[in-house]
Amino acid sequence: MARHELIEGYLARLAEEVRWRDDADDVLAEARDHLSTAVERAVAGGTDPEVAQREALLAFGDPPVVARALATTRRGVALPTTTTRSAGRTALFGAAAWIAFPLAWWAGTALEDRDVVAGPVAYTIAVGALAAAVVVILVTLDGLFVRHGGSGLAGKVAKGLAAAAVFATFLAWFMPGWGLLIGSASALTAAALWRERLAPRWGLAALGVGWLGGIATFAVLRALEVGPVDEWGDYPAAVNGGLTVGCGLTAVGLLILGRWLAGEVPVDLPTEGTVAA
Amino acid sequence: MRGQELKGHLDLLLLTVLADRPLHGYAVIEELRARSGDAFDLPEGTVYPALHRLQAAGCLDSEWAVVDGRRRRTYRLTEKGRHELVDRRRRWDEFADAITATLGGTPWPVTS
Repeated sequence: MARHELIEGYLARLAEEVRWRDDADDVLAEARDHLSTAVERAVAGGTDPEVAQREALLAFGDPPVVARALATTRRGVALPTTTTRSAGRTALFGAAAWIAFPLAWWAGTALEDRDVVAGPVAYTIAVGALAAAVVVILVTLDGLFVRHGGSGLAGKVAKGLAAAAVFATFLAWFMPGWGLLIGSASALTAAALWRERLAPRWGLAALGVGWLGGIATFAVLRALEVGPVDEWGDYPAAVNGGLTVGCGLTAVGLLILGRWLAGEVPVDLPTEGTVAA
Repeated sequence: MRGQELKGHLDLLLLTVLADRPLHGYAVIEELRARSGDAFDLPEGTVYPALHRLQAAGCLDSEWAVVDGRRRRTYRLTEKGRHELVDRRRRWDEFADAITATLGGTPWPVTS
């Protein structure tokens, strides 16, 4: 057996447990130094190298116990859990809903004058997809904050805005209303979590810019009076531009963040042995 | 003494151990063990989060060096940490005095 084979195996397991930390290299370097020092001193005192490694590892604690204790050094307990994984899977569903919504909406717009059944059905699907998509945003934001150790004030405000957006979707046609609420909630979340350097930044950027970008696109095209005016006095090109940007970026953000959250192995750990202030 | 019983007191112990001189993690734990007469039984790996937390709070500072080909982090008490130690030590003494005074006049319970 190689001299420190057991320690290397332990460090590999610990690396797996702390892979989500931005200071994982430092954590592993500190553990390696501790364990190696303990083994060297024991061996110098006449202990068999393999026995010394076993004793050092026993005294250090199991990787999950150490990882959980390390997680308490952040705000709350920032760990991938079954809750965050579920939020990630839901986000993937949400990405599909954000794509389905504008497609169904455009189908409804195209069919409403031609087919008295297909048009309303498409609109109904669109409204359902929008409601589902906004609920998913709420679940995803909650999962992201849980993954970062808790909500805090920013998280509570963001989730409150997203919850208000759920009710605002009853007025599905009023995109500036629910779009602004979702955009504010998403942007606030992305800004709050950006500096933690845990979540994929492209995902946070897309989600954070998504609906504020959509509303900005709508506002600019509307102000420039781009395209024809419809029977309601709206500018369809402005609405469609806003939908494309808002739904597209939000879907991309949810896809990236959802894959990240869903792809992490949950770490639901025992608490015995954990020392936390 | 198990980890749960140490909960809340570990920070005071770590600040105390580091008050004399800077130490790396293993030496901190060795010092804890030596001073307590091996009374503290907790996974050694869980001491590091407490050190990190104290550093994040500004009570400790640390620096890295390469020793025997390995990266080693050494912790030292900051001025804020010294004040924190004084404050925690004072509170501990008050607490311990109160407990001792309460128990002092009571005879040991008889067990079968």
